[in-house]
Amino acid sequence: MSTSLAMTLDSYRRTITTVALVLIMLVFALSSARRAVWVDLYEFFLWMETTWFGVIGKTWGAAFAVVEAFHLLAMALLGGAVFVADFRLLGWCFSDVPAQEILDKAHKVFVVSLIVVLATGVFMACGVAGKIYWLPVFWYKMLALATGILFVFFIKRPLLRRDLNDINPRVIKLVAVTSILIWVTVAATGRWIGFAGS
Amino acid sequence: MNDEAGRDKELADLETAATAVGVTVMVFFVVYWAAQIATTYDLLAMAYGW
Repeated sequence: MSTSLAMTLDSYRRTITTVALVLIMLVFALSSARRAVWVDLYEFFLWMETTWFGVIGKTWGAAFAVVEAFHLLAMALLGGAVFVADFRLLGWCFSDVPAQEILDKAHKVFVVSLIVVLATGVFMACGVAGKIYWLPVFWYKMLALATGILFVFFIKRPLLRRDLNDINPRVIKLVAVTSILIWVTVAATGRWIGFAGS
Repeated sequence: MNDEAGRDKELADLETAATAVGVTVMVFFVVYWAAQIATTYDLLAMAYGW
């Protein structure tokens, strides 16, 4: 009995980890721990503004603008890679090109643009750390970004590396829609930061 | 044979995990954006007396 349960649990390791992560996040969000962590992070955000990135970002508007330009271009590239791959999975475009070929090439573009997005994003965050700390939308963006990265590297990519004919077509479509929703939220909340606060 | 069964199990695990994340993300997306639209509407209503 216990052996078969252990085997079943072992077979669904990734699912169990995923559900456990979601539950931990839910408990964290609904408990007082979220506020405690947020308060503790204040010192860290103040320190971010004192770093080289923070000082340059705050005092030299042109540098911030140039880095932001690369951040937005990388986001556009990332969005393009996501849309091309996911629209192909949904059968909305490039139906005459093998899906695996599009997925592999789009993933390479995605990885490069993600690196640029993260690097430029850290620089920009340092420059406006005192502002973004107080914006709920910034924290939603970080949640969406972390979800997106984990989703791509621990679920989407390992799943879609397999022969697509072996995968349930509904799951493929669900993965594509989920991916679009996550990255649209990342982009929308990111743009929202620019309009929020002062 | 064993190798193939192992791959099938791994695929089932991946599909279940993907479904769990997909449903969670969709629920979160609907709740989050519905709340944002509702609060924005309330603000506009206060501002313009709709």
